[in-house]
Amino acid sequence: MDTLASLQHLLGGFAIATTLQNLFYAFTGAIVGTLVGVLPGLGPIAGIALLIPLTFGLNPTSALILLAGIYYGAMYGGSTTSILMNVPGETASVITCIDGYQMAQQGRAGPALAISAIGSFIGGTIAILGLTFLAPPLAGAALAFGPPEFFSLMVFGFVVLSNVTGTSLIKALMMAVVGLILGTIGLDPVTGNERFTFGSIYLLGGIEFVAVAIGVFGIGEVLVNAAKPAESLEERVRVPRFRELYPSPQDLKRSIGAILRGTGVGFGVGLVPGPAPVIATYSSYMVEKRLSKHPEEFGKGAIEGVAGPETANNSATQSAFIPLFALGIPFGPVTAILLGALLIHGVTPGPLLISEQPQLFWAVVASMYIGNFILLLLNLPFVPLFANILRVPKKVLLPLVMFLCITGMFSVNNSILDIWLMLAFGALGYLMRTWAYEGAPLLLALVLGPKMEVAFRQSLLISRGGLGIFLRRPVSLLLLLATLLFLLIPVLRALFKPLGRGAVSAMARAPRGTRRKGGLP
Amino acid sequence: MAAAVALLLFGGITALLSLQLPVGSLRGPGSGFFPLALGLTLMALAGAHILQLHYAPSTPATEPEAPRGPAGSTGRVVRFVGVVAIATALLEPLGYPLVSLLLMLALLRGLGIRRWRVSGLIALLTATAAYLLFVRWLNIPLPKGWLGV
Amino acid sequence: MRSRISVVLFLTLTLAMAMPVQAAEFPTKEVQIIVPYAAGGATDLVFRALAASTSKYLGKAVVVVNKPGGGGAVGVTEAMQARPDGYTLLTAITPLTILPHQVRTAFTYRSFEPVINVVQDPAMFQVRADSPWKTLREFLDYARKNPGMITVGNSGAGGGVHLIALAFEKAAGVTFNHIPFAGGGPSVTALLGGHIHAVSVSPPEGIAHVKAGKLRIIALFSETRMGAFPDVPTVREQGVPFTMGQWRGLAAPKGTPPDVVKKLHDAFKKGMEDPAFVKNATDMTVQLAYLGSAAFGDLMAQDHERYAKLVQEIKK
Repeated sequence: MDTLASLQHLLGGFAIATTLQNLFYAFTGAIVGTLVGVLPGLGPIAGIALLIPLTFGLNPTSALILLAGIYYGAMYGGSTTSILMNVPGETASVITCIDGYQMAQQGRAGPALAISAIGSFIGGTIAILGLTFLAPPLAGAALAFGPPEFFSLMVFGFVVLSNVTGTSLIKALMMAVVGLILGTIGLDPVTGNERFTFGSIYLLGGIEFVAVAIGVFGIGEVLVNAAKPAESLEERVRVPRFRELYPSPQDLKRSIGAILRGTGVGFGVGLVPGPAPVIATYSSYMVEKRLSKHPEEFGKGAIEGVAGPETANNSATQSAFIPLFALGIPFGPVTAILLGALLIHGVTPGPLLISEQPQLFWAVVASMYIGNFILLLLNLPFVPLFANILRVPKKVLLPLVMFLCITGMFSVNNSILDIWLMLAFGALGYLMRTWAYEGAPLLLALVLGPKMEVAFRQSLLISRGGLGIFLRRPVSLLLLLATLLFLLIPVLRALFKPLGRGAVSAMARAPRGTRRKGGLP
Repeated sequence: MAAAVALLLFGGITALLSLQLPVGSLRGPGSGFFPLALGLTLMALAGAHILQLHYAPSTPATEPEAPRGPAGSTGRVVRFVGVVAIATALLEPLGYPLVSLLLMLALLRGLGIRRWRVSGLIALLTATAAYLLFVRWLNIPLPKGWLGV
Repeated sequence: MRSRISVVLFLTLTLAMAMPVQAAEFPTKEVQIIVPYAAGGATDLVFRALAASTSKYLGKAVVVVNKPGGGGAVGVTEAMQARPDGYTLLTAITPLTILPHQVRTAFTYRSFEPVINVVQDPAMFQVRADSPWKTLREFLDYARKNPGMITVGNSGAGGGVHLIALAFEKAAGVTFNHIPFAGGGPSVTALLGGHIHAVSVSPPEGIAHVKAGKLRIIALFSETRMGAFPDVPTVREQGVPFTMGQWRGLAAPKGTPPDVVKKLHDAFKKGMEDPAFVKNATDMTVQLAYLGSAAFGDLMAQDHERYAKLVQEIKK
């Protein structure tokens, strides 16, 4: 793609995208999206459905700008509930709960929310730049991932990413396996057979992810708080002074690295078909933790633990547009909606789109830049408002959160059974907290499990039963080796224990990353 | 320890149940293949963990996170869950607006707000706002109950 | 303080009363169409386009939701259990009448009320432009010499194009190695990446890539040649008497009131005739084939019987 021509087109796109009318649409979309995203369970799709009637009379660009606004707003709204209430609205927000919520508990909700918005903006913008100039070659990279590579990637992801909080690899892996098992409930995605449904029609559709997420994280947290003695419920979260509502210079300094790395991680991960934002957030968190000078802060309110993942999330979503535009194939629900919007206006995305209809493509790209910017503009002022929600004493806050969870849960499938499921997982979440088991690996497994299984079985079908297929392909082999190395480290440590405490503690103190060949930088 | 044993059992049950499904072979893995592998893996991990707990000294990994408070605390959780469960059961017959009012009232009282005026007010405001926002504006088909709203 | 609270309370309650009671007219909110395949496949694309053009005729948004898995079984089951109030619809496609004969399903076509049929398209096999087989003859010769070696992707075990591939095997006297995917989108992606040798699809899956020269139609299962690709011969012309296609329409859960069904039918019919949709359809090379509710119901019943026999034959 000719860079000069691209730039010209991009400017043309901006000209279209910055008319007062289009800015208005972007703004409206962002507001509605944020409100919708704040309700746990309700996501960008519902928000888009709400405003689609307004797009009827609009030209393609305006319609897309509106939709982009809603999407960004909803993603941001989802982070808000993660930080303030430990309730993840969707997969991508789960990791934000870990440090974001802790920050809020320490009266630092403001910086958490703000850095989330800032990081998302930077990550998204840079990713769009990548999209602008690198679309076709990168799309080719996406195609290199077939079933065996996909499976190996997931295995790697599980093993490496399960132990986000680092307390115990074996406990994290157990939670991941439990998540995988729960993911098998319902219809077998390959043959359509029923599995573990015990005759229940409700279970035929599988375990609803949102129920588990809200239950384990949100309700689990509520219950843990409810268990505390009555006096503790009088507490309010430390009320932030105005100065503390926004990130301090030190916060920003710490976050910038995380943000840049998050952008890179997200961008790369977004190219792979599948639930990219989830993997991106988990990966970014792990990277930040490994590279941080204060790894012990993670899990207790390290700002990098919010900055990195939130950035990666947004960046991954943007780079997911690349396969859509270059190949015409959407890799996820959001890009599918975008595809639909393009179809309305007589545009059939495919390899020829960029060359045949450059004006549209660039107008869309420009509107994405704008959407990102609007997000920042819109949400930074809201930060104090949101942060002050936490001033409410816990005994009022807890019932409110509970109430919101129930309503939000119902809004997903209109099913009361989902609410029961959510409560059951809430109780489970409480038990897990009591016994120090992590929820993050379970959720990751629940999402990725079915896809991993499909990839595994597809691979075996292709190879007609030969497990060698996973080792014959270079990318797959590399990933599996990295996984093996990662697993061997605790074993090596345990083996060397009898040598003496001195040797052991010396080895233990060396950060894991330095002793591994093919692992994360 | 209790958790590890529970996980061991869970893994075992999964493995057993998955044997009832067509397991297939490597040439063509069936529905039961993956769950069987998972169940066995879980059992192995749980077994390893139990051994770890038995022989290794107590590490941060095995300490419970939330310190167990006075005996009443678990009871409080049970009551909390109980109240919510009752509210959920009543959702269809009584309808969303009424149940939201009652649920908020019950929880606020249970968590320590003694004065009816305060708890009643908060409950009423919440229920009304929720109704307006979710039922009217967002059109979520929350249960209507006998009041028909 | 107390009086201020009372004022707020009073105002809120008044506002609540003042809000207009919603008329019971259908539709009062958005309508969802469940597509039981991953995004990007034929059904998904056709109905996203139709949803977009129908929204304005219906007066409310029409939104597509993907629920892939089990060759379509997962999404269909979910649609079957939805409230029969007209707000949840299913894309009813040929696999609806095929799957119940292949696996134990909770549904048959009788679990739904037919609303309208939208398209009918032939199926086809596509390969990469750089694949070693230039003609159908070469393809089948290779398959005969190497049974079970050519990997053919489909949109789900037991589903439409999978069955078509199986039936083609019988008609041509060869065997392939069938690899299931969550929909036409993922299977075409896998083909593009070179992970499988061929795909069994129907338009618009892969069409954009055929037009761009990256993929080739190696076997076309229609009666006559396609207008968009006049140089592609049908398999019938080349000596294999085999034609098969798929229909795609909309259905509502059983028990949906007839007047709601009629409203939906009328809105979607207008959506089908909308010039924007017609253009989309042409670009995607799908053939519009409108059928009203009753006629569509008859088609489903006929095909249900037809596939019962076909599946039996293939299983032999």
